[in-house]
Amino acid sequence: MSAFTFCTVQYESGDWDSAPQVPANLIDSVARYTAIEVTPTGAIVALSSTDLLRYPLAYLTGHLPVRFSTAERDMLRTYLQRGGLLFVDDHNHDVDGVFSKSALEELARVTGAPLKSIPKTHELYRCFFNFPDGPPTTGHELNGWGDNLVHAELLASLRGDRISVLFSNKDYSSEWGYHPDNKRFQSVDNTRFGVNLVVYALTR
Amino acid sequence: MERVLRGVGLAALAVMLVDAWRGAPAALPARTVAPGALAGVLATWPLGPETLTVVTDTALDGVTSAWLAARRDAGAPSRWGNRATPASAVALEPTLDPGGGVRALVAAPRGAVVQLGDSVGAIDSATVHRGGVVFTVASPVGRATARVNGSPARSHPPAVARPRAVIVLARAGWEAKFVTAALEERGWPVEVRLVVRPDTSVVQGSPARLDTSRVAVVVALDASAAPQAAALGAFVRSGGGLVLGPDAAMNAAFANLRAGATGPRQAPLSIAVAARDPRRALPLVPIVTLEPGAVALERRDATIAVAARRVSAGRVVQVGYDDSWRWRMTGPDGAREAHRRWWAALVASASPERLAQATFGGPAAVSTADAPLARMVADLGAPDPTLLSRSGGASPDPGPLGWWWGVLALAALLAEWASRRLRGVP
Repeated sequence: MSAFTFCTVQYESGDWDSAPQVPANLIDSVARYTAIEVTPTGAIVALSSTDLLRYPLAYLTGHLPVRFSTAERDMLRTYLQRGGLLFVDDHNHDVDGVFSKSALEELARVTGAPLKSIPKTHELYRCFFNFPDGPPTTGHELNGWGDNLVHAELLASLRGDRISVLFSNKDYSSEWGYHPDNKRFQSVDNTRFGVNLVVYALTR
Repeated sequence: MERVLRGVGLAALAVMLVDAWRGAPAALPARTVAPGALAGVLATWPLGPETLTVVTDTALDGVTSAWLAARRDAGAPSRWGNRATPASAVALEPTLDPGGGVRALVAAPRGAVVQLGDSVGAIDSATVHRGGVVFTVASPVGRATARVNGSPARSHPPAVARPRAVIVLARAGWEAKFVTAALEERGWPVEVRLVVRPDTSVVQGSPARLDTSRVAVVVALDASAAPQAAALGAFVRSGGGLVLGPDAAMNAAFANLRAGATGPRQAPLSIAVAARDPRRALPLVPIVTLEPGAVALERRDATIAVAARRVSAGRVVQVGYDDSWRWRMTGPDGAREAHRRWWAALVASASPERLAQATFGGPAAVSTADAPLARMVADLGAPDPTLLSRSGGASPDPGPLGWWWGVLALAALLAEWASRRLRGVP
């Protein structure tokens, strides 16, 4: 059995590498909370590369506008058709911001339809840790920028009854991208939702 | 003496001539009709004392056979012969795959060409090598027809399958995820227990209820299923199917169930997944020695990669390939479908036949074989073998006595000729 490897997607536009600490922190949480065999270091794969198919869960983030190339769109479409799950997190946590707007447009072009919100009762929120109120809020949403702008739901594109694209405006990239020298934003480890994401991807 | 012999010979020839003249039947009316028109001709054929002789060069349909049987039952003498209909039969049975499809089993003489079709048109053809041929058809429309050297045998497709559940037991991981996905996409109802950590599993359905009345096959991919090994053994012995993945087969808990002992894990033989032989790109835990009664189902080069054995009423299929999800994700176009078919076939092969019969709704679901020649014999009785070499009319057979007259004439004339030669008379 091959071990789980966390994969960060590199795309041509924008700033794909804006949250370099996320992979290490999530890998640590998966190893800490579960018995899932996990590769100690993550992988970085170009969205247009066939290597992407070796990682059925991939993470994409950024602050800047996102425009996929034709090769990137084609590969992402193949990836999703074969059962891959792409997690996209808006590193800005804003509403209708440049990353959010452009990424959602690009994802809709690939999936063929706009992403839709998933209910707070979705399996994603209870497959390992239980999140009865849906996606956990982040420090940035509550007071990091002083705006208390909370995004109540995540968006998703489904293939059948399983998520193939998950989109977050909650800025988990900041929440999970803490430096080990710093304490976390919240007293309760917020990477636990990241563990749920990995468990969901591995079991659904 | 020579005069006597000559007289006997000539007398015997005279008797044969008289017999031939007396035995020649009166010229009877004879007609050649198309197979579909024969029933109409029989409907108007008089019920006279003359024997009706029907020589066919194709299988009679049910209506025509019924007409001939009715004439016979009404006391009108008749006989029949057949010159071209091969002994053939076709039966349809559902595949053990909820993705649909039926298997058409056609019995036919060696060398015959079988053409399979349905209500829409031709499907496939094959030449018989060993008494029959088997076609797998995805979704035949209406009645299936197997033509053996042009002679049709027809059968209706069986009822739609209602498969029982497949249970997948494994650690949370890509292999379990994509095996489950493949089986679900193929139509199997799948229940899972995927271990995330020793005290926590992701569960779908009721995988703890191992009951052959509702579960067809259990897929145990790795050692996380070892605590259930005893229960799985009881499940198999009571008629269930079990697919053992390589990590499970290596576990001592499954030593009594596996098809063979495992060897050291082998690396993939190729880097990229190729359409022609995709499993060369997978790691393999080889099956090095088979248990008594086990059979190898698939080899990679000389190494056994998949094997199966019976365990009491059940069946175990042991798979040596690992990380088959890489085939589905990284393979060429069609890899996802190929991976799905392969896993569906593995599960189907682990499902014991008798379970499958019950699963698919009982014996009535499997259609009765249609055997044209056998059906004609059943309806009309045995064919008249003397008609086989002729197109119809009276038999030229002189009868056993006629043959003896001929022998007598020949012997007498030869003896007379020999006697004359011995005496030196020309």
